[in-house]
Amino acid sequence: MNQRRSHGIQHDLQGFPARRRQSADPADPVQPGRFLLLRTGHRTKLPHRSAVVLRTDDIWSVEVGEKARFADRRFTINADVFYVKWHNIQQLIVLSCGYPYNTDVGDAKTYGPEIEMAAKVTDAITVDLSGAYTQAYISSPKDTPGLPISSGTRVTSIPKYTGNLAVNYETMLRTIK
Amino acid sequence: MTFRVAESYVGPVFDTAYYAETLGSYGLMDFRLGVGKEVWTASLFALI
Repeated sequence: MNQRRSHGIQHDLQGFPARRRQSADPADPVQPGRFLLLRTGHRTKLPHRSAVVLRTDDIWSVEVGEKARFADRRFTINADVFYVKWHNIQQLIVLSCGYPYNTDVGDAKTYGPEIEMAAKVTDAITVDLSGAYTQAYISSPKDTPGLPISSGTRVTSIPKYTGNLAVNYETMLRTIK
Repeated sequence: MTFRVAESYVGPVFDTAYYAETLGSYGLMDFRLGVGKEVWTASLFALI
C-alpha cells in the first residue's frame, strides 16, 4: 500500500523497491484471501559522493494481511500489518557545525497497519478510502561520537499518518447525431 | 466521461535538511475531469 508518498506506504523505504500496494480496485484480478509476505534485500558497494565508506545494508520485511470481496465485488477491503527491520540504514544527518551528510546510522524498525476500502455505491459512483499508521524509528544507533541520533529517533521522511478519500463518477456520454 | 475528487492527508514528517525539524501535515485535493473512448482518455485536473 502507500506510495511513497501514497499514502502508503508512502513509507517506501529509500533505495529499496517499494512494498507492493494492495489495490482496492473492484476490477483487481487478485484473488481474495489471507496472505503472508516475507522479503529481504541486501546492497553492497553503496555509492557515496564523499570519501566516507558506507557499510552494506540489508532489510527484512514481513507483511500479513487479508483481501476481502463482498457483494459481488462491489465492496472490497485490503488490510495488513507489516514489520520491517533495516540493518545499517542510511540517513541524512546534520553535524553540530551545520554540515549535512549521508551516513549509515545503525538499525531501524518500521511497523504499522494499513487498510484500503473501495465501494461501488452505484453503477456510476465508486468511493475509495485508505489509511495507514507507520511507526518508524532508529532502534539501535551506531556508536559514533557526535552522531546526533539516539534510540527512538524517527526515520526521516516517513509520515506517521496518511489517509486518502476519493469519489469517482463515471458515465457514458450520449452520441450526438 | 469520468469525474474524480480526492483528498489526501499526509501527517507530520521528521526531516533533516539544514537542521532537524518536524514538517507539518498537509492535505492535497485533486479534481479530475476526463473523457475517453476505447483506450484513449483526455483529462483536465486541478490540485489544491
